[in-house]
Amino acid sequence: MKTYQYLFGLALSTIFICSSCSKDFLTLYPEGNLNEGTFYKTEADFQQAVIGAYVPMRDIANNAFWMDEMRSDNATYDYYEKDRGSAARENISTFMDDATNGVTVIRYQANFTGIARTNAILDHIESASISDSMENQVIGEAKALRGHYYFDLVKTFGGVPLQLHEILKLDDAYLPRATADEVYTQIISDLKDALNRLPAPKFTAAETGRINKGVVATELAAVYMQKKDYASAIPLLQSVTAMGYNLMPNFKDIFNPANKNANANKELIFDVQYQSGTTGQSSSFIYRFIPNTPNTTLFLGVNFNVNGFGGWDVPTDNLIALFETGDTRLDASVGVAEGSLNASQDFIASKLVSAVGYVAPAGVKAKYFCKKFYYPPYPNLNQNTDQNWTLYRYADVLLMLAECLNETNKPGEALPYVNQVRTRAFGNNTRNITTSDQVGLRNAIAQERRVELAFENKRWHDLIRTGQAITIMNAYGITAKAKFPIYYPNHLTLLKTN
Amino acid sequence: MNKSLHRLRYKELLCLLFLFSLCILSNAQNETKISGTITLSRSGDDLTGTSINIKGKIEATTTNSKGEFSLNAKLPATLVISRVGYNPLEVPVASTEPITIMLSEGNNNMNEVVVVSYGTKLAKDISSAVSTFNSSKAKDIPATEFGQKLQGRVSGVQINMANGRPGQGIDMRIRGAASLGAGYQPLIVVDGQPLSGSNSRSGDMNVVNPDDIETFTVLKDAAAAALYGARAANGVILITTKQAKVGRTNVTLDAYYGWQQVPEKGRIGMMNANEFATYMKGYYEDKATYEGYTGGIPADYADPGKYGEGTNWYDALLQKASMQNYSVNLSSGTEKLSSSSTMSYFDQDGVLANTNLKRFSFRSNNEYRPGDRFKIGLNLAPTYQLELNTRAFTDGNRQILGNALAASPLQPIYNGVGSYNSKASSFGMLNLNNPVQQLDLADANAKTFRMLGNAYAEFAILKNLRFKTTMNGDVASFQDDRYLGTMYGIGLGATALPRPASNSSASHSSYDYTFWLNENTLNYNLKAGRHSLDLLAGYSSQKWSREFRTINGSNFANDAITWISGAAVTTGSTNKEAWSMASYFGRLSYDFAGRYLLTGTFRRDGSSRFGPTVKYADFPSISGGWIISEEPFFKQNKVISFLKLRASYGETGNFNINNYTFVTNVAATNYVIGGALTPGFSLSPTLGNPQVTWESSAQVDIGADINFFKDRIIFSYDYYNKKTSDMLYLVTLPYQSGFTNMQMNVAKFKMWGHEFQVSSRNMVGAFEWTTDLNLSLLDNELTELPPNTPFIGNNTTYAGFNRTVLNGRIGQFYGYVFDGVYMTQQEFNSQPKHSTSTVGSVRMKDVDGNGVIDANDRTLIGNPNPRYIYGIANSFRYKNFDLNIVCYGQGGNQILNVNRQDITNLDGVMNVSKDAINRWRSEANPGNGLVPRTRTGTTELYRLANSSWVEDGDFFTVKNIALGYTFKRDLLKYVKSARLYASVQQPFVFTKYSGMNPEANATKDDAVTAYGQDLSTFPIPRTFMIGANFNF
Repeated sequence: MKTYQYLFGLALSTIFICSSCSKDFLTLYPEGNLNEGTFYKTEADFQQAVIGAYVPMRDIANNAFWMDEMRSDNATYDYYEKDRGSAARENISTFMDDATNGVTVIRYQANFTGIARTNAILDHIESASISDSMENQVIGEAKALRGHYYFDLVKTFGGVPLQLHEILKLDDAYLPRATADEVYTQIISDLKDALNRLPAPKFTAAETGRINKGVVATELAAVYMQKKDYASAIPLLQSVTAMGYNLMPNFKDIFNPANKNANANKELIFDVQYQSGTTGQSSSFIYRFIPNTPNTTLFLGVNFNVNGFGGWDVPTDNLIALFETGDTRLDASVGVAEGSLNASQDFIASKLVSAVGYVAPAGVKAKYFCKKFYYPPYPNLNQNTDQNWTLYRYADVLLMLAECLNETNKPGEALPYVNQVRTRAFGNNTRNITTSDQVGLRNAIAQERRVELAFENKRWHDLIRTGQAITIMNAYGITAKAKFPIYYPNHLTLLKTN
Repeated sequence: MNKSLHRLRYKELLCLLFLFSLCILSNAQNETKISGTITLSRSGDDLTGTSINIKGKIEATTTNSKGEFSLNAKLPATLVISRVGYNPLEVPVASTEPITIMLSEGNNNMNEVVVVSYGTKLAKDISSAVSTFNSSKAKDIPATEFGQKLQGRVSGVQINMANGRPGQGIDMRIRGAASLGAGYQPLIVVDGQPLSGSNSRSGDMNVVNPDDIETFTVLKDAAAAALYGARAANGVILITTKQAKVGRTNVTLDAYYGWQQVPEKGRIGMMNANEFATYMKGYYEDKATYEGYTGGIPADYADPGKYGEGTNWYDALLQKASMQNYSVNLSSGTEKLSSSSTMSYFDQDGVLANTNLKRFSFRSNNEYRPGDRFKIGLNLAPTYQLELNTRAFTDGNRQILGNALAASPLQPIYNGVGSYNSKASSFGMLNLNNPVQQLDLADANAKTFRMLGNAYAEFAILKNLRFKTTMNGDVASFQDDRYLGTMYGIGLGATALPRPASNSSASHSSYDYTFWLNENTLNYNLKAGRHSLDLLAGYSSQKWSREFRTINGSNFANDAITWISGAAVTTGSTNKEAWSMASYFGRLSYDFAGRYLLTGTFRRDGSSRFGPTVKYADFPSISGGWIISEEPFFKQNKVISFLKLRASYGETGNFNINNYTFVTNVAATNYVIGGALTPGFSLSPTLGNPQVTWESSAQVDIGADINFFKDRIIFSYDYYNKKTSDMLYLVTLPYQSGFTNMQMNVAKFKMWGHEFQVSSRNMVGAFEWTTDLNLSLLDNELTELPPNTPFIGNNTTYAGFNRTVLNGRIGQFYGYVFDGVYMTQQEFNSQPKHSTSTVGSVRMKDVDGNGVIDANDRTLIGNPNPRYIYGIANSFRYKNFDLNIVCYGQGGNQILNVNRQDITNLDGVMNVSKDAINRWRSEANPGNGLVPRTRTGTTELYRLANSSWVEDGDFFTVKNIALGYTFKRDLLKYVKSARLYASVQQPFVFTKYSGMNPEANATKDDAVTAYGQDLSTFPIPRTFMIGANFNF
């Protein structure tokens, strides 16, 4: 009987209970994700947030070669007549891009995504209680990343809005464009702070990919060089030379995924990290660089269709001609595929040959391709490779240092650094540069950078940085137009950049 | 904590129901049996089914096949006798003497009982905009979806057959409803239960078995719909399913069989083999002339004369498809118990080969009435649906249908006997695989199991005070499995077949959702003198949650195992989402002297989708009616037999956004450090907005209902004006924010229109002829844009075809203005040019007048919103024959024929439409001035969205013609009644549109980003059908 009374009481109160519990009833948070209210509390949260802030570098690397190499005289593309969906990428190469270009937007967006992630870390860490050493590491990495993203932006797009705090409301998202100088001031401030907080490189496998003092010093030097402040760059670069970095003995081993870890390769300073497999971390650069073909077996050892996907970053004649005889870097950087067109007018490769001294035999369809990141065999997974993307390596530092010394009127001091790079390239020191003329050395260093760092997304920025872009690209445009009549459009004028 | 609270509440509800079932009250004493016979004035009508109520009581019965009835009542009593199509009668009964009464024919719709929000009402007492439709009038229309039966029947309701996919074609829009990102589909309420669905939008209406439906009520204005406040902004369709009639036991069998066929008209005219070879030969000739091509004419095209028609790939995909439906209903009603169960089997082949939908459905509706103060009901409707290739591969951008248009007519379908010629491209074309083979091998299976159930108990606490509690459940389980094997190759430039087995992949996606809704209402009515008052108060709570998963497998060893168990690499994920809502609501209806009507409603809704401080919103409404014809001063006259004016104002809400947008999510974003996968987290691209809250629409409606000539002609008119403010919109954030978008309440939108509905009994007597006609005029305008948003729409080259601008209609077409071809060098030199232009290339208008053609010269080029919608239904009856003709039309809108994106591709990589033969080839041979040249690098502009894609969308379609014959009862021995019929669905389509289906709409339920586009639409068949209805 008591039970009945209880039940009856419950029944009567149903209607009222509904209203009393509705506050909880209407409070639902996602179970599949964390949210801002619950995250950014513990050391682990911040460590994970920093990891998340590295990720946009991949979007940039996956798209940067269109803007940094194909826009320059280093690379062009394999015109694939049947698929015009990728015209936006070609337009970058032919200076026909505009503000609606889908590729340039990706880079702009990815940089700011990275910046927003670092801003969230830096804003939240102030109120979090975590150890000083952890705070140093987290702030150091976050500021280094923010500086890195802003440097990529300012190099590529000029002055951009300076978003330095987490967006909390709509108006925060509409800050006006800052000047390039203001952006550089912020970058230098972030990188200097990071330099003080972060440890020196330890060259352990476990630290591979993580930002350290070597990365920040190199990047900060590059920032100074961009501002033509060579004197400020020199001590930073010199400090890097004392950190334990070394050139790999063989040029062709630098990018081999087998040598991707810091303990195995002391030349690498900062790489965007990838991992093949099903973890969602893979890269697909080589699929972009081999020619458009319905069958990749000859190239990759596995068969996929790259029609419409491949054929980018194709070495230009202009670049190939620049390699001196005996330079091992030509064979390491440029490949040639011979083959023929099938009934669908698609390229089918029959053999891969060396680019050294190559002249296509009559009747053979030959396609040049960027071979620098070509390390077969590949896993039998479409567009899924282990290849990292290098942002800074020691040879770059040596050439940067040589350039700074030369620009500060110390050509003699510059020579050993250039020649370290050349000695490796030629296998001996017989091809070393000896000129002490500042102008002559400037040209020699520029050429050295071009062949050493071809396809590493340096060329276009070097042209802009050294003020040569318009002269060189206009001259290149005339020859390119003569060679490729498909550039039908009635102008191939260089758009002004910077 | 939350969970346990909820569990507790379930228990309490169960207890409540249990207690009610204990509260069986004894029957009232002193009841006597009243009996009688009701005959009908129109001969030939089945006498069964006239309903008899005792005024003021729940008890009711209906007549049997001889017109007889009996029921128990306390004398004296008043019997209310009513029947659809006849004038109702109230008969006082004081003795047990059997009564005999003849009901006279009437068309007095005003005395029909109409299902409205949370109850029923006599039509004459309704002061808001409500339309009803009895499903029996559309029983001859074969329907996978109930919307097909409703098409053309109700003013203000735009129903389009957007595509011919079995079970997925219907697109519904009430009063031009639109929102910026939340869809326009109305809320569907079945027997008081709002349907949910697999996504966060309004319910998936597809699974309601059209055979189960008895009536539709469309709640159009805010006052009618406001009691469904939270989810009613797009209008509400109330569906009542078949209930058993008291005093009758019926077994009915309905069956039909149909043949579906795609009409010839409107099929896209691609080149045949001879034409295509000629075109391609010319293509290479021009390439040699202008581009230094030295390869010679490829062998495939060198001798066009050797080809005839070649392969018509599109036609080869089509089949004459069958469609069949069998439905058995058993219903029985006594004074205490009524029960109706329907079991149906529906099987439809698509008109594309290898597509099919099968549906097994069951519904059981039961009500138990132990006494006159208590009733309890239980309805259960499980459905199981199997679909083959209706959700993937067939239609849409560059799927099999699109590939068939692109494929080379030079290639045969088969090599010799029965073996496919896998290749469907000729020299220089993008590789295309045989679309017929692709369709035959397509393997996408979807299975849906869904169960709707509801239980209710109604209890008369006092004479005029009733309490009702209902518990509704909607659970479903969906699974979609696809296998893409070595012979899979859909798409332009697909890999030639066979692919390596390692390229094979399979996907599985599935979800389960549960939705429950508990509603508790108190209803009080009072009649004092000439005042009558009706009060309703209620509380409801509901929760929807869905668990979903995807599994992908790749690198299969071979095609022998098509399940993911055969894959070497497997990835997958599971997740969950949920929303909940709690609401209070009330209604007060007041009626003075049957002349002055006033109804006010109020609803307060709280939703989990909004932030802590803004969860709740209020949705009030008020409506008034004046029945002038009841006024003493209104003289009885022969012209006007009924006249009512009505006006209403109300607010309704919309919460159709993603769950959890009030908070910024932090999602896993992993990276590799030290060569190892390292877990990372980062903010999701949608910035949380704790201030986001309900979208609200305020709607004014003014209307009149007028009956003429003793109700021979019924007319109704409505004007509405609906203003939506605080529209829910994902405001795009600038890239500099690092976020993509943010859900906000922004922008204002307004819709208005006029609706006319006329129903006329043109001829009565032996030959009967009735006409129902409706016409809606409508328009809309965006009156305020979201902040920092110059327009709404996508700005990309290949997809941004719809754009909504300030003070413009929603979703207008956007593109270049086509202006012919640069015919001569002189013309080329003197005209504005695009960077790819040359003499003979396409000329677009320099809209901004800056002398250069570029993306800034795109402009608004058409309107996808119909300006008028109309429907005409005629039914004729002579002796035992009946003939019904239903027509539907709309106009004032345009269609964007997006097919032209591919069929005008002049790069020699796919088949082209026939008009390419008239292209520019030289100044001496310039073609018709409408088709540009084929020179490499100059052709893209011609296939970007432009005004040559825009076509007039007006159409008038005879939707259905059905002829039936009813057998006389005395001719049949075992059957109470029998009827045979034949019908044609979609017999005639009158339109200037060149494509197949003027109702096409590539994306349903989206008026903003992709509205009014025809893109490789699954063709709509013409269906011939025979059917029979038996009543045992």
